[in-house]
Amino acid sequence: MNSKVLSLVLLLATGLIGVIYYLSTNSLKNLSSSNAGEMGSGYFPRLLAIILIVLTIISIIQTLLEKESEKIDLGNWKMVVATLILTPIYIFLWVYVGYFYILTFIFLFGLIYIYQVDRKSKKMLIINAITTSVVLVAIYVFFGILLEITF
Amino acid sequence: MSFLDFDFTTLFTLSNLIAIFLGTIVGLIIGALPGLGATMAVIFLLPFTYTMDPVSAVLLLLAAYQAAEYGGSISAITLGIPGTPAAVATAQDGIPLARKESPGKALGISLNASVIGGVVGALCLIFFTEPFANFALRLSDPEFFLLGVMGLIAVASISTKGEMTKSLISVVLGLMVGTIGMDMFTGQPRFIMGQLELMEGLGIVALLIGIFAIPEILRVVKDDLHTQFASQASNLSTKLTGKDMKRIAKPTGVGSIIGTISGLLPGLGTVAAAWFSYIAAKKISKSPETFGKGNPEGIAAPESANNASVGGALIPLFALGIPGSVGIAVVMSAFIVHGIQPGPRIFTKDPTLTYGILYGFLLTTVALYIVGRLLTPLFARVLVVPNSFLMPIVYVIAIVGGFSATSRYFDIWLSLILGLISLLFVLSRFSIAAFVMAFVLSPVIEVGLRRSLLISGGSYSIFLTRPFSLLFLIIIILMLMTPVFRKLGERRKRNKLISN
Repeated sequence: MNSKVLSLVLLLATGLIGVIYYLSTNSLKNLSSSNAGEMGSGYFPRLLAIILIVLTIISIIQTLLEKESEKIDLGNWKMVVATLILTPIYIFLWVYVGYFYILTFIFLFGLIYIYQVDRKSKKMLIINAITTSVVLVAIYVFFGILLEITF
Repeated sequence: MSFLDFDFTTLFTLSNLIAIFLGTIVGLIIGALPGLGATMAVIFLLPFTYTMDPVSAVLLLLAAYQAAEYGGSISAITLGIPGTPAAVATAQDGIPLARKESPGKALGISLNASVIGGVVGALCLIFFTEPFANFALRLSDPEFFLLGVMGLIAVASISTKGEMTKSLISVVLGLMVGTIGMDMFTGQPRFIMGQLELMEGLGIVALLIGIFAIPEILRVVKDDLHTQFASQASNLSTKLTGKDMKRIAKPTGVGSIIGTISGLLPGLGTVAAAWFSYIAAKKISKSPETFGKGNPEGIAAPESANNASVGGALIPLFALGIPGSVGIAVVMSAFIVHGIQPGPRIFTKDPTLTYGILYGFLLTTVALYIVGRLLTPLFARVLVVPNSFLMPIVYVIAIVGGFSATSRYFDIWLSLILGLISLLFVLSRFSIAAFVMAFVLSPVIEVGLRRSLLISGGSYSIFLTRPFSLLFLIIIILMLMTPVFRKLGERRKRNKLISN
């Protein structure tokens, strides 16, 4: 994907947010009649929505007028995608199944595992297991005992 | 109560001292890790502050911020990779000096200059904030509204990479997100989408982890996951001779002053402070030709400046309620969490807390010196931990930390969704710094605007008829016009070159 396309997609999204946000202010009081000059709860948001829409239009025009468009460097995008797939699964299981410490161990071990180049080496697996265990103990001590957080 | 009447026994409590030293250690580690930075150090510790008393909470964050600014130079000098953006200036001479003489000497100069810069920033904070706040008491809602807007435009214009409009969009989005929750005037819920969890607004920790920490971690995973670091882990003693200290005295002084002033101006931040002072030190140096080749003055100036700017950035926070940098905006959220509104009235409303923080900030520089002297060699060795191990750990702790602040599962989902969206916005060069600043300042700006209009009976002329308002308005217009003037200037230059 190139930067111009991404910019346009995001700007259209922000424009849409601006419109939805503006329409939502209809359900709020915009001007109160009790006191002259007293602005209702919708006044400031409405002002912001208008500014956002105007800025978005300007930015869309600027983007369209850009002559050059650079390609976005996706780097290790596979790892980013893997992380973004694993995270909601981890959170879902944590919220609906429980067993926070076991799940966190598996999640952290899994992330470190997939991030390694020589992930199948025995030495790496041992280092991974030790690291994950140490982090889990630290989480238990700091969050579980000191801050008394129930996960 | 004046600053001389402060009861110091309230400062030297075990909880405050632990907070300062813990913040310093964590700040040093996170600051030293390439790619994370000082704001990340503050965000990382923010969840822990919920259960602490307000003074300890703020000191924990300030100690981390202060230490992270020095920490950035550890990786810059030993790895050749600056840990914070401000440390890029330090690396110019830090790396050559480490190669030419020893990494320890370069680190020693960095540590001493950072501590002196921190002390100067802290002294300015102690002595100048109250007079500044007394002056600010003369200002009213129209001026506070315009000051808030000015701060946001400053951040937007500096944090942008040539795309001012996108930064301004980021500002507006931050302000919009800040309106979610109960309206402060009428109590009416706004934009809560049926979620009761949103009645008090978006959780600040969840938001910061989502828009700042998660995209930053994912960016490192995307770009630097398998970068191999080779640390210069020998000769790491940070002890300096009297001759070394004498040589860096002048650039350190210059850096400290420039840093404090840069911190005062919202948006300029540590990066600008570091570069301004580097250039200034080069200009006043007896041997400017050795800059970039390992001149100790080239390390002392930016390092003293980035630490001094932390104290400088706290002055507008206490005096006006406007944070001078994004890191300080995150610190401001800790105030808000504890129900404290920074601003000129804080000195009369809560003097013990205010002076506790001001003097405590001075203590953070002492802690920085002690921890820096003792642990710099250790941190320099820790830096070789590969990102493929480090990033998953930081990621998991960020998620767990986000949950621990409020114990709401809603906040973890929120962080994740915001993290995803922010990653795309970062890739497209929107400004996260401007967004964060706007979110934190949203209540100040909305209250300022609505109260101003209430005073004026709904007329915007109030911003033109008051002298300070008019002055601030002119400054805002000039700030907005600067990119246009710059472009016109560039075009004129280009045309001249073509015609020649």
